[in-house]
Amino acid sequence: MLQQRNFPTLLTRLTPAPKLWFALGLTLAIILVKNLWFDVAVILISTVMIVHEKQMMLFKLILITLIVLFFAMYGIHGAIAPNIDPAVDPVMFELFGIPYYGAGFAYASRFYLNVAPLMCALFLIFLSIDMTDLGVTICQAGISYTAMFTFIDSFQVITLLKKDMEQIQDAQRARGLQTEGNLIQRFRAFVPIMVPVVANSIIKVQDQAVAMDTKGFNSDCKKTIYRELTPCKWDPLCKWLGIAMGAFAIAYKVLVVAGVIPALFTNII
Amino acid sequence: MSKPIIQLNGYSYRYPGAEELALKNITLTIDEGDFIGVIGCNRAGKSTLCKSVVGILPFVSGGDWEGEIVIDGKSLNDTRGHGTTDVVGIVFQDAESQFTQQTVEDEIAFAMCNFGYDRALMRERVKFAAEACGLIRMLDRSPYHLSGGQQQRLAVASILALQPRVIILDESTSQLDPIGRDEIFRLVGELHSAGKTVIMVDHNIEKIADTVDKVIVLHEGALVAYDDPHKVFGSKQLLNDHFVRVPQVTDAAIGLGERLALGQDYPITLNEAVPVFRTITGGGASHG
Amino acid sequence: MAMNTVDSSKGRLRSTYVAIMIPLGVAINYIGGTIAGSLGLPIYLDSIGTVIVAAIMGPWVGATSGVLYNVISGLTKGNILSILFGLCNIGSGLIVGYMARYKKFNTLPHVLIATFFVALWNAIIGAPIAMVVYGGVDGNVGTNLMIVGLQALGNDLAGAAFLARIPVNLIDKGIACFIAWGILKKLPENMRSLSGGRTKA
Repeated sequence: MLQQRNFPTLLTRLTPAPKLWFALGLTLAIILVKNLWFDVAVILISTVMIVHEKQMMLFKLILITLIVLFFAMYGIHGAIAPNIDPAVDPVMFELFGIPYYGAGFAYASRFYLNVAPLMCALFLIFLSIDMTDLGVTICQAGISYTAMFTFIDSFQVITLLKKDMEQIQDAQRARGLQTEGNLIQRFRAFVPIMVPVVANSIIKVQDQAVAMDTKGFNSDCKKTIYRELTPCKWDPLCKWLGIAMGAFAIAYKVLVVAGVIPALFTNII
Repeated sequence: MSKPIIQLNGYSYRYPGAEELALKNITLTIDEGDFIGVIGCNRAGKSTLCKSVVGILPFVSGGDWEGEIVIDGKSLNDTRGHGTTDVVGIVFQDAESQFTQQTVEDEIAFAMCNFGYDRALMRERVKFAAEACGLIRMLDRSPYHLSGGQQQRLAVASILALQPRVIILDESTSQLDPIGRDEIFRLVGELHSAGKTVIMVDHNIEKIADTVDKVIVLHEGALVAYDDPHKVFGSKQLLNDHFVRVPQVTDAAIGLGERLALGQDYPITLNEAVPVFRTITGGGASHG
Repeated sequence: MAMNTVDSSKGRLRSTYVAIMIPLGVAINYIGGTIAGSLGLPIYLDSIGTVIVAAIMGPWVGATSGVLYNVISGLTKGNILSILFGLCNIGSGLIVGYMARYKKFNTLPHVLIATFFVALWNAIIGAPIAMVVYGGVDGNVGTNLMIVGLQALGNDLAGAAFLARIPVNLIDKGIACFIAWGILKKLPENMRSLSGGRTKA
């Protein structure tokens, strides 16, 4: 490629394929092994790395989702989880007259400690992946050029529509649209913003299709790829670490379920 | 003498489901190396003409047609619109909606990827097109972070990478501010000087008059005029009857009529008009 | 006058339209969810794109667009398990797509029927997925409040998760179907089916 590509950190230098293997291995380890300390370590390490990668602004949205989920899952499941037996389970505390049970918190933890570490770690991994590089990787793995194009173009269209949405939102606000206030007012604000964004984008589709045809999208030639991935010396380590984690997690789960070994590492019930 | 690169022989076209013809019995020849301006009021058939020349109409989007269009000696009736991309490239009005890639460099290379070019050749062509269009320092930027003029230049670069011999610009400056518009006219002027045949549809009569070798005037699908810009813009009545205006300097010169004693040689650009109007002002220093 | 004709239904733009409409559906879903979030609405509004693409391009293209949205959303937010909710979007795309194909997405009663079936599908499939992924509650305030209320009335968590999703989805998918229908009515005739012209030109 002609452009100077800037890879300021190790995470951005790794190519997509090893990161995908690592993400897979990590996902299997979190879901199948269910170890509290491993999950907490993943959350902490991911958060530190997000700060190091200077991505706290984007991570804020994930953090808000995690906080909302925390209160929703523990707040609701703590009181009404399906595994609670009010007759025998001890009440940990009461809040506004509602009893909260340890069994309920354990139930909430079972799910929250799947979702939270995955969101932190995978957000970081996928944030560090260039989407065109990811498209090139999946194309090299055998997925068709059209499928790769569709995948990459989704990110471009999201960017374009976000820009349109902001312009239309500002224009509608300038015309007096209320986007704050009670629920009814906010509901009413949705259609005048959404409909112009959608209608504009669909009207452009025919011209887009013609423009792509003139650029040979439908040609019968075998397609080639322009982007070159720059391999990093840590790619093999990242890949095999991910494979090792995934293989260990699968083997551990199979052996535990088969009763061959006790659930040594599992401490989230 | 230049050889013909585009010929329309009695070409008529009707859109699917339409009753009226969008183009009516057009016969004209465009020689290689010409710079053609296409003007006309709305719904004159300008975009239809451009899309027909590239083979989009009727072979991609459907419709009814009569006659033929010959591109570099090959009739589109025989090739069914295929194989024109190395001869003719087209740039549309809305540049932003044509972009599909993450960076300027990827966008310039996109068409070449679709045609299976190898990477070394693609790199060469990207460098050539980016330098020709003044984008060489912006290769890593997102196409959506460019100005309007830069986006149109990128649209031109994307087509230029295929090195077509003819470049068609269909109202590419209509959504641009004056600076962006001047950037595009400057770029196409340079491409024309480098030997490309350029066909430009534009509503800016003054810029067209200042730039092109020949003017095509369309009205309701019919060919009204196809001639040297002086002859076309000198026929004010003909143009006005077809809802097309003449350049302002020409209009002023025609209005001054006998005082200028020009006969039919009206100026069509500001540079031509200055010495002509000086004859009225006495040729001295400009007043106020 | 005897003219030659090209019927665009046999044209080569079909695959191009698919490659454009799928990402557009993904983006519309994404923007719908973003606007709903920024307005603080207690519903999802992230399947408008699926419904529109299904109505214009057909059921399987709509379903693909829906599932790709869930994949991309899961990847970009790190919530990989939420990709399972793609099964809901598949159903939404297939239901609306087949209704549109058989010209049953043209009138108000059609849209109401589509809303009902899409909402039912999303509740039936969404509830067990929410149980598997989140244990029953998710990040949606409207659904969670309804779950709490239904539990207070004596339903178990699984039952409450299912019942809570019915009214939420009726509103959510209703808005999606009505917006899609409204936009389709305003589109020019040649754009209502961009499948390369399933009907003759």
